[in-house]
Amino acid sequence: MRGVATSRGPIATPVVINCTAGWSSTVAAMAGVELPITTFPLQAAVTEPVKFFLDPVIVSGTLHVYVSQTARGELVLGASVDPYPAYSTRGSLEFTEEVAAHVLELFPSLAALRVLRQWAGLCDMTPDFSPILGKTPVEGFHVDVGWGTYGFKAGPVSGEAMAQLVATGETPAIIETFDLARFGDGRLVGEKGAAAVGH
Amino acid sequence: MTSAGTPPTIPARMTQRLAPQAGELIDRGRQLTFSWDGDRYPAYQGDTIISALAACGQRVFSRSFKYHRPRGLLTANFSDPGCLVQVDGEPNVRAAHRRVEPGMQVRSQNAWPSLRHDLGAVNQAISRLLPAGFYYKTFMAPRVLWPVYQRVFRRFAPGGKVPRSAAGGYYDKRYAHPDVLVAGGGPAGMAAAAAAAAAGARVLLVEEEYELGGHLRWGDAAQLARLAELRAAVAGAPSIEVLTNSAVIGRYDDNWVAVAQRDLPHARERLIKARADVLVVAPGLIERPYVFAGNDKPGVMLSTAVRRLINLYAVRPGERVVVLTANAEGDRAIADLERADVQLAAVVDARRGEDVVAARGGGGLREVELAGGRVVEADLLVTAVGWTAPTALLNMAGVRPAYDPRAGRFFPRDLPDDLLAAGGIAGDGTLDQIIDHARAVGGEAARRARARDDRTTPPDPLPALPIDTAPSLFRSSTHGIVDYSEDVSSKDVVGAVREGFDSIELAKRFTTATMGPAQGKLELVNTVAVHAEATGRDIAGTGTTTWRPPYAPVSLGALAGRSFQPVAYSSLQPWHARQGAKPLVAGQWIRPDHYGDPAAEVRNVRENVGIIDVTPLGKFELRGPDVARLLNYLYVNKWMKLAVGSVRYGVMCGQDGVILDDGVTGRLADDCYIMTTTSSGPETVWRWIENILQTEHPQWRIHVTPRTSALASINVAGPKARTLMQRLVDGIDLDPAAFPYMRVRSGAVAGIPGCFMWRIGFTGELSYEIHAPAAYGLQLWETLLATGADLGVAPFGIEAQRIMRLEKGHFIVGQDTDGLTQAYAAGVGALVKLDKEDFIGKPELVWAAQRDDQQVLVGLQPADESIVPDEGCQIVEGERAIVGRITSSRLSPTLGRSICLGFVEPRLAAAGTMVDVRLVDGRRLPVRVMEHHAHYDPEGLRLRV
Amino acid sequence: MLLIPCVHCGPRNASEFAYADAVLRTPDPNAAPPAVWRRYLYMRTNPAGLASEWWYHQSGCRRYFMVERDTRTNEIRAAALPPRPADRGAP
Repeated sequence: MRGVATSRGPIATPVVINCTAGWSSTVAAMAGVELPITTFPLQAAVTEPVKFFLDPVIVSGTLHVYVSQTARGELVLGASVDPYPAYSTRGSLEFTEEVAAHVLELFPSLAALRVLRQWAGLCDMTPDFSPILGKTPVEGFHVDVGWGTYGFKAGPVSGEAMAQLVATGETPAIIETFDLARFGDGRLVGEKGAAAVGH
Repeated sequence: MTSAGTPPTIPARMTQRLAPQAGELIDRGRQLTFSWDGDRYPAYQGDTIISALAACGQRVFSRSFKYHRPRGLLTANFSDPGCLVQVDGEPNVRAAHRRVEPGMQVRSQNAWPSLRHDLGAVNQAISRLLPAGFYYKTFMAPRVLWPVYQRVFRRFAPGGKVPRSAAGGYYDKRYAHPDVLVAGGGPAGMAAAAAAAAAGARVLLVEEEYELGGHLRWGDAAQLARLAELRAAVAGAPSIEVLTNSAVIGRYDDNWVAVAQRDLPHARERLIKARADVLVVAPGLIERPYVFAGNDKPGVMLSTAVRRLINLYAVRPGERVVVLTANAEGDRAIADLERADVQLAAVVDARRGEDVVAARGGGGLREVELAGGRVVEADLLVTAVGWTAPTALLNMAGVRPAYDPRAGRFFPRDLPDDLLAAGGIAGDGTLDQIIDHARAVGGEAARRARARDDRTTPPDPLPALPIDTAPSLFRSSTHGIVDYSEDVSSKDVVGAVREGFDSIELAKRFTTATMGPAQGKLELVNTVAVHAEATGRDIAGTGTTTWRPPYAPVSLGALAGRSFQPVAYSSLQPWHARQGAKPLVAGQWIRPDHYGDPAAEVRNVRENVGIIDVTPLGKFELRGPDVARLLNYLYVNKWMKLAVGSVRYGVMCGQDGVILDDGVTGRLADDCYIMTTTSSGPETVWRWIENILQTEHPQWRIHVTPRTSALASINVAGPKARTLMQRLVDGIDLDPAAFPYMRVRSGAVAGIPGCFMWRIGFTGELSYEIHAPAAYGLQLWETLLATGADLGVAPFGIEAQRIMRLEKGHFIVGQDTDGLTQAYAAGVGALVKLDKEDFIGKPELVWAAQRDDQQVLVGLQPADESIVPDEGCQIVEGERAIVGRITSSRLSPTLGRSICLGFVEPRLAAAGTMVDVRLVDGRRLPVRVMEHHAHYDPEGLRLRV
Repeated sequence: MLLIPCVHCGPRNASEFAYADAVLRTPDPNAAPPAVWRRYLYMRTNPAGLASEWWYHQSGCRRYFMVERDTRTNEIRAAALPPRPADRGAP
């Protein structure tokens, strides 16, 4: 690893961490690294604000839906990733139809509440639904990718571990099992059973 | 006009109602009454909630989100950000759009304890503490106080109240397949629709307001005449379906267009999903508010708002007015105001460089400060500074509209062939020019719809509309509100830029501008303009934030529609229901969990005989000369030599060696096999088989026919099963020598022809699984019960079956296995025949056979026989190490103790090893690893008798 | 909602179909070393652009067919049935 070319000029560096969601396999390909990743849109929607009534985040693994109310009063609604891979973030009507139907199974009295906005982000899905952390076959090119639909909670500690890796050159024990080589070795991590919406 | 803050005279009177207007929508012959914050108000049929209140002199309709500033009328239509109210149980009703109904109970929102005495208004005093981004910063430190801040926010959260418990109301859906869908029923939309219909297209014309016409409705006599002509043209075309009070809320892939149709007689809202060959976007233009100090005071209105009030509702909007005008619409508003006898205090003509710098007043507007320092007393300030092009539907199709600084708005460019634009969004010009253009667009839309299947027909180019120059007026020399819904000021946007949010998308998220109920329609361009000003860029260089669907808010009820989730019942369901069986939802199936006492059901099967409805088992009939090949390829074990009359258990793996499904398959005849899958597996297995037959081995001659619901399946299990069956079969020799374990026989059972049954043993007892034509299922079931009454026959449910299979140590795919469990780890390695030439999963299983690092499934028994650890509990070592987990766990009525299946690391898998289960309450439960998965009759003697 | 041009039924809503993985070349299961086999199992080109994929008309004719789709825009360029046995060599 000698450096990267950016739209704002070249940067010389011996170490690059690829921590791009959505485009991690595209970025890795620039370094000649193959990743076992497929990009899927993940959609969410938000309703108009209403007076506060819902303290916990409600998740249903059966209905594949989550509902939470922000401090501003809006309900944030989400489900699992789209049924086919894409880099399009335009969103679909099917998503809002399905998420609405499932939310109303949980809260029938919300029928009159209106959806204000839907959006989509890109999720990098790995074969075992677990992230890929650490070194790659290219010296100095590290990855912290493949968090799929989650990572908000584990993201910070993964960053710390990656910093340790950069500083010491050694892979910290806490991320050892999440290495890229696990796919070639048949050592997948057992997170597949975890519902995507459960995180 | 009464000033804000004065209670209405009771009963309120329509003091601001004008003499009849040419285009008015109210029916003066039909007066009705409704209530507003507990007081009674009169209205005419056709009034909106707000027009009725304004006619009675009311000016304040809500409090703003952050600062709880009083808010009044701004746009007088659906988007009016200050006019959200609670109507009966429905929150956030658009009161400047929703029509009054007799007896309606309307309440203000965001005001506590009342609209006039709002405690939240104290936020105004501390507004310095509530700048944009306040969620992210101000209250982040000290962090320990976050829960306190959160409670404060929640108290003042905007919006109405969700009913605690209420029937959701009736909502509906509909599909439509128009050749041409026209979004917008103004002059351009009507002309385009009529032209498309004349060219032979079936047209769906969608208008957000209650009637067609757009701005012509508040026009002069000539415009009203044109309106009548256009309406007649639309009404005269039978191939146009008109939807009013309906909004096109989204354009998705391949012109999948969503329409929300509101307030139907039978439904609160209906979602229409239209696959349109061509979409014509003709939404008109949205008048843009002007940013200056006090621009959100009640009494500051847009020119289109006063024109609506005067012409459509005959409401006098104020006593003394200042008009800031930069265009013809502003000039026409002046004429309307003079006709309505509103005193013209000042006309501020922006085209001459004149400007307004501040609006002041307590509850409502009292005075206006003009550029140069002149202060004018007024209770009404009307602004007409320009337009926003609502390009949302175009953006949703991937179009990137371009900003034209001469016109001060965005214009569509590079439209795909199935998308056209007409009306103000496409350009300016006279009414005639716009109508002619729209007619051309409509005709071309019809032509393209016809030519859709013939891709060789190139689209015709369309004429262009002229584009007028207009002054670029966004903000005065003072700062004011840019986002009325979110209470974001221009100062907040400038502040965001100063903090480094130099991308408009980031500044939007930081300030939350455009993210409220008005969805950016009023505030987007002003936000962009202020942001551009602060960064020193121009608007084109700043770009816009993404318009995301829905274009107009749509109810969860309409999106959900009625539930059409299919539910599957076996043909025995009436009997189960009569017996009060406890239903269990298992995928699409609803089946009996038990009939009252699962433990008793287990004992009866172990001692006498029980029957269970296993109809949901997936069943496929496989016919053809190559079936054995398919089975041999699909399953890990061998199938080439399965004799007619025999049954075999098989495990199916994916290409990664992970268990996909399991079940028994029997050979009924030379070329006829019946394959069973798990109850949740048939769809996956069928898809898998079709994949193999269509893409990998298309030369194999096999027909696959699903038989799951065509057959009623009943398992008769228990030591007295043979005695019972002997009374019911004719011509089938049940002697164990003639019909041993793992064999299948066909014939009549209980007089029902066309049955087959096989001897298998999921429960571990002697059992016959009978498959009969579904229509005879109930008869067979009732005959079994009647015939075996003296034997103690009784039904058993899924729970008893699950207990018995756990006693026998049989795993359930998906419960005792997961997405990584390979055949060896599940303990069925003996089935895997690596010497077969090829089968699915073979490479991974070859390597798995050589590995010893994977957790394995074992039988487990807690040392304390009375504790049943929850399924999913972890097996732990020391403080932190997880070394396994419990996958199945029950109290065994047969053994009188708790029994489990679970995974442990291979070094712990030897019989007799003690491991610790961490219970949900944190206690450690010692459990013993057993020699077999089976806790009961591990040799399988009972089922072979 | 995306329209998928089923080779048998014509264009239908995507909700009738199941996406069934990228079109891949299967290595010889009896000869491929672990690295080659697992690359086939897990590695995907994941293109931001034209992708060749299998679709299954699950709620329709139950045909598997190949589709060329642009993953950035969902535009579908082509759809075709899998090659027939004659084109694939001996069984």
